[in-house]
Amino acid sequence: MNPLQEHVERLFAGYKPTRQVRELKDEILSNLEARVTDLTAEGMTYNQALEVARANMTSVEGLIEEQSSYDVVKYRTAMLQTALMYCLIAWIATIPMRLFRVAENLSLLLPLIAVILGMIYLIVRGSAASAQQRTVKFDSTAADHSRKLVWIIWGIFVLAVTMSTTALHMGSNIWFGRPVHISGPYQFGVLAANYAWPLVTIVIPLLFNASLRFKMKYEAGGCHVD
Amino acid sequence: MWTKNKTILLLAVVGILLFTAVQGIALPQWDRNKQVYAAEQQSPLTHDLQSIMKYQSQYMGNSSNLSNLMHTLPLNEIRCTMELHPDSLTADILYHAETAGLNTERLERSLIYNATAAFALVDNLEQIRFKFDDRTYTAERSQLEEWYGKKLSSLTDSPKIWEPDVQEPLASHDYVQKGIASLFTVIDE
Repeated sequence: MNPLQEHVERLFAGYKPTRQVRELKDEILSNLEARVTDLTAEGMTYNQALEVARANMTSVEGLIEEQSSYDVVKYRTAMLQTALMYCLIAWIATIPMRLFRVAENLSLLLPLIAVILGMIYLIVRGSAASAQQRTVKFDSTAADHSRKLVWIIWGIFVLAVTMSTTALHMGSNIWFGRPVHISGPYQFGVLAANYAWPLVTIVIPLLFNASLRFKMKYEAGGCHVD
Repeated sequence: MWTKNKTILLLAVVGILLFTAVQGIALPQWDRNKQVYAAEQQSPLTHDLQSIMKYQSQYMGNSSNLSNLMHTLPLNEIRCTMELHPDSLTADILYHAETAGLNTERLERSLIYNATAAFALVDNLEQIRFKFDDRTYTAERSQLEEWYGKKLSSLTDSPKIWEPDVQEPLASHDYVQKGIASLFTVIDE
């Protein structure tokens, strides 16, 4: 990476690589390179020319529109497909927990959700081929904030459930300083399943990640590769 | 897209197979094993020593411990309550049933087993009375120690001691008869 490319990357640090950002980066980089070429042609040393060019472009604030738009049909199809896949993975993770009578309702609910998602996916996918392109605007910064917020909420949820499981199974041992006694592999399995089931809900923040990823992938006017 | 669709189909197949294996094979097998185990706990000959080891205690005054122990021993299908007499280090186990309605051999075998377990696990319990509506069986630690010829707490050191010394002899009708006569004072109400 040459010094100008490094400078441009620094300018765009913190921005999501949307189509608009990528195009703007290319444009600014070529402008800076042209400026350096002109200055060196006028007799300035390369390093001096670099300094001058960089000094002329110190921020990209105001150049980037906060809102982009994405292809709704493609986005919806991809989201449904991913949600279905995550739902099935989460279901498979909960099945062994049934052996220990943990997360039994969740392991019944998830296949039901998967069936519903599957049906919707098939309908949406079937109609996607004939549907006209329709775009919707989205604010990538706000979407990114929402994504981060969901991860924080999920982290708090997992922490709270973990603490409650610990209090329920080991509270008195911790309070009275007694060692925790696990009488056999089954009891160990029950304890492990109680700690493991909240992690299955990781599919929710992962879906928010996927949502943002697909919105950028199916940005209107952009091209994508499956 | 197609790769993801294939992955979804594969996951669905794996999920269905796993769910069927757990729900249709593993859980019913576990339930059958549990039922067999529960049935074994009703007989002094097949009762699992490990299931009562957690009730080891120095003090007979710990009523919840003693109550839990009694509910894990044979005869636990009969509703029972407890009265503790810490002054005389005696525990009364009140079975709300008449001995006339019970299988005598199983009852007597269970009483010897339960008294042995209670004395072996609760260090300062000196006397235990099994009170039925029509009869009371009273046993004392000293009598059982003389019967087994050793300190009762040492019986629970290992199933290798417990089984030959406590459980296996109870299969003999004569042993049980002799045990009841030697170890218990029986009073009809």
